[in-house]
Amino acid sequence: MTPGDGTLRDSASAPKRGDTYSINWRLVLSVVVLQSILLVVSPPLVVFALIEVMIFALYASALNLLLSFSGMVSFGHAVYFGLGAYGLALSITHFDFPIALGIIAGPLVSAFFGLVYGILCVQLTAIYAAMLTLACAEVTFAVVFQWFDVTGGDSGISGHVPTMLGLEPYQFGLVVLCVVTVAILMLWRVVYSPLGLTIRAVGQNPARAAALGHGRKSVQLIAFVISAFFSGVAGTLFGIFHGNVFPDYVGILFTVDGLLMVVLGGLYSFGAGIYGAIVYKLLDNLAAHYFEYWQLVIGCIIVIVVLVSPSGIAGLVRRIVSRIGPRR
Amino acid sequence: MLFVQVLQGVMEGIFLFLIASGLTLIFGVSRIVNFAHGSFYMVGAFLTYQIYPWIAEGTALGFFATIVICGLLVAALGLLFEIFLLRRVYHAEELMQLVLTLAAVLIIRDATKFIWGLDDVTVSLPDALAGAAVVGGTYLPTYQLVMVGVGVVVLAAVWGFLKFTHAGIILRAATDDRGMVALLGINQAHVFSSVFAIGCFLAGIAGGFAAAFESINYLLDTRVIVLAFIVVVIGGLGNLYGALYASLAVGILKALGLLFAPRLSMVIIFLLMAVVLLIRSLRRTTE
Amino acid sequence: MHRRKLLQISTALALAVGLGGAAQAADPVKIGYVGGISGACGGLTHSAVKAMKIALEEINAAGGAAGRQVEVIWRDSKTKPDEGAKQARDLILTEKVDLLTGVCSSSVFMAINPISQQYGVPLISAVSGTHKATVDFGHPFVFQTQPHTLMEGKALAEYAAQQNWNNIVTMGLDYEWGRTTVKVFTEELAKLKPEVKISKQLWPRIGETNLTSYITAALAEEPDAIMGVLFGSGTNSLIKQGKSYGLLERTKLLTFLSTESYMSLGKDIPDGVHGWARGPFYALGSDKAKAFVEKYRNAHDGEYPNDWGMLGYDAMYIIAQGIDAAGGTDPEKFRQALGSMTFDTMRGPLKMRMLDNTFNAPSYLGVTKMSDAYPFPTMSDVAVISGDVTLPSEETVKALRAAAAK
Repeated sequence: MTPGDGTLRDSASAPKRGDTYSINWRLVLSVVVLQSILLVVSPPLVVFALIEVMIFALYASALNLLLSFSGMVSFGHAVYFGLGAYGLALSITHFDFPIALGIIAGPLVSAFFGLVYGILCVQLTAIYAAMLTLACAEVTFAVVFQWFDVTGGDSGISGHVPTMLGLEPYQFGLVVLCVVTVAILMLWRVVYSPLGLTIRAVGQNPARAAALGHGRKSVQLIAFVISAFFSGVAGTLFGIFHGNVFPDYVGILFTVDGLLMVVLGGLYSFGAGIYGAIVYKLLDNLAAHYFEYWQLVIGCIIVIVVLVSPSGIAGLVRRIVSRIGPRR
Repeated sequence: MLFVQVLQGVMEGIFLFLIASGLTLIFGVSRIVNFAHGSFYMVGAFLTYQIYPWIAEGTALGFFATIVICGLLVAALGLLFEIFLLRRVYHAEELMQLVLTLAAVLIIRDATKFIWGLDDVTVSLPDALAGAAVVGGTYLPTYQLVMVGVGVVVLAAVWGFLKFTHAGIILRAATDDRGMVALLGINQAHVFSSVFAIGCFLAGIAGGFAAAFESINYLLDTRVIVLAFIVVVIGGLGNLYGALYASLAVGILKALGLLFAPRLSMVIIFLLMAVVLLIRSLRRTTE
Repeated sequence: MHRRKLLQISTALALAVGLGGAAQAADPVKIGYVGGISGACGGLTHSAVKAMKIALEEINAAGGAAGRQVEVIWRDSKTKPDEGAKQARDLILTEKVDLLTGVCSSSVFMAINPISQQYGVPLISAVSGTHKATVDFGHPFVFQTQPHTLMEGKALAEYAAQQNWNNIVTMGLDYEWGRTTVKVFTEELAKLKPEVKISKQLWPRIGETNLTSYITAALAEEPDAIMGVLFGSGTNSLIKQGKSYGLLERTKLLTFLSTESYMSLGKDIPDGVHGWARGPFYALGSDKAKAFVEKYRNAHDGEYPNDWGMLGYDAMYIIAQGIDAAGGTDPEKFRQALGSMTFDTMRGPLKMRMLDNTFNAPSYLGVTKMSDAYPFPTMSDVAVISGDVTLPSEETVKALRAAAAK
């Protein structure tokens, strides 16, 4: 629980002076190496599952930047996830972009919408802001779903990019691993940079942050755009992974998935998105496989987490590590 | 033509108000954004489907009795939810409360699937309510007129309750300043529980009325909740009268929207919400 | 020594071959089912699953397909495209299924379609209505056994042209299915009967169940008929709410009315609604259909199968008979077999054309009437519009494919 011990676990503590959360390269490297080995040796199906988890880990981590650190709640984050995939698809099908350019366009489209919607949403605070994010999401979904001449409607867009870029699953898995690792490290840098300090300050006490000269709106807007951008990276990867895009990707279910992952992972902890994605996807797959009423199972687990262990899996991991790990 | 659509919108608006009133009351007092409100509404609808055949099916009196009973049952369910789960997170972060109600949505939906299956079901209107009054070529369906009446009764009852009863005064006080009410030695837990039960009662009867009006299935919860939220947000969270005006505005906009800009009717409603929110925040900052 | 070794090897080889052969004969045909058991499709899919299970039992009791037993592995797509794709991949890679079937929503169909193409595993859609998978993005191993959107739009136009309707208001759900059906309907009707006027097009949002303002807006045009492209709760709400506006006294209504709507509305469906369906069990006179309905009811507390149940049952038989004729599950042989046969289904004899692997599945249109035989109304005077009439022309298919390939 000591801040500044440099691992990928973090506490809910307020920013402190001399708050140097440097990246623990040893941990990152070992995770990456382990994951690479897993990707190479596993059968394709496990590789697919790993790819999915990695993509959602990035999406949830991007959402977590808002939820845990900037003091905002987004009820429509699937928009930025899905628009990444739509940005990729539409730039290729409608603007004849080459695939490489389309891949860059995806996250930028997300960031652009993050900027536009963000400008609206940061005008408000707390639950009103959250409601506005929901409204923005509903409008976006309606447009994507109904304007089928352009977006393909509910049968979506496919065929614009070869599934997994035509790579072998493990090769694509390695690509995703690289992108997701770099992106999550960048998010880490954001959270623990001077900018991140400001974001957290605003998130925890806007009035005091304002007294220090940090306007809430502009800081939250920056966080919103960053979060939208990285959600878009995840969405673009997801679009390439499946080789298609559907309105579901911007829909409420993906939003709820993200929220539940973060809460399950443990609010106010950087690792929430990563832990949450792993456990949620595992649960989701297992429960649905063995039990027709899988939503009931997930609902009950969420209730238990909220009531019994609000710090989620991250809190659990912290407790275990502090018990068995070296005492300091 | 215009007149007919406006009238239609008013009737639709009053129905929306039935759903939104409970949601806004709950928020006003306990600051809980209850995503499960739509689920309680759905349970009310299915209970009506289940119970109506047992209570003088086909008569208007039996129908109203059923709806009141279902409202009470849903209120009891809501009370259980409030006492055993929600009460534990009143002091947690907003997000935890939201996620808890989201989890309730998942649980109630699967339980509904388990009990009532996946097929659509409907409730037949009692004959006395099935017809329409025709005034100068304009059809005014009896059932919708009855719903307007119900809406007025609910509004009057809630207004009277808040205005004149002791409990109502405490509720109003709690909406304004929870801390002060607690300081006065009033048991907050009771206040929160009762308002949650009242909100669920309203959701339950709204569901009951919907069961006879449309086709219901296990997806009913998500169908209403977003629109209900929009109404509540436009009206001002916790503001009962605001919710009434907003319901009417949304109903009329929807009915007129499909004449002039059929594809945009939902977008217009969302824009209305955004504009109202932004103006309100602007006014707050300039004050 | 040398000879003994040779003998050993040959014995081992013979054993291996023999065992392998025996194993192959015993190996069941594996079919992967991916459908929206939960999620938005849940209400439609459950009957299809029950019906397919009955078909499967019968097929296996009669010796299976190509001398092998048939095994189905059931998976839930949750009506989510990515989940459907995941399950399809899992079925192909770990369960090593020979064929895929199921599917309910267009998005899930479209998500599984390229996977079927990529791995060369045939995909036989039993209950999905989009034409895009077989027409626009068709490949040799995707098959469709129910009428798709283009076919239904045309069937509706054929039917409407025979009625005395000169002023029609359309009311289609505002998404691809509703829009495309209305578009095809309008175009085809203009060819068949140019004097018909479409005076207004209304587009209710999907999930909208308070349709009263749409009803008043439609009635204001004083149309001869309202053509509704809605389903499930949409159709039910339209009929229920229309009643108090005197909709049926003031105009005619033609709308999608599948069996589960009759079951849920019961006597709330007035006589005289023009309905359209894909597999109404009560209108299928064949002994086969009657025997199936009897069996289905006995197995499920007297419940009747809905349209999707009928389609699912037929699809399972088409698959089994196709495998039989192909002598196995080789995709190309399977395709050739399907294309060369006539299938004796509950919906009558069906044939598949090789152009887009689509069956000439019929659409059923008729007028509702309270029935004595069932606890709910059914359609009487059912007109069966064959797929031979409604299948899109070769030029249309080629044009759509060229546009999709661009």
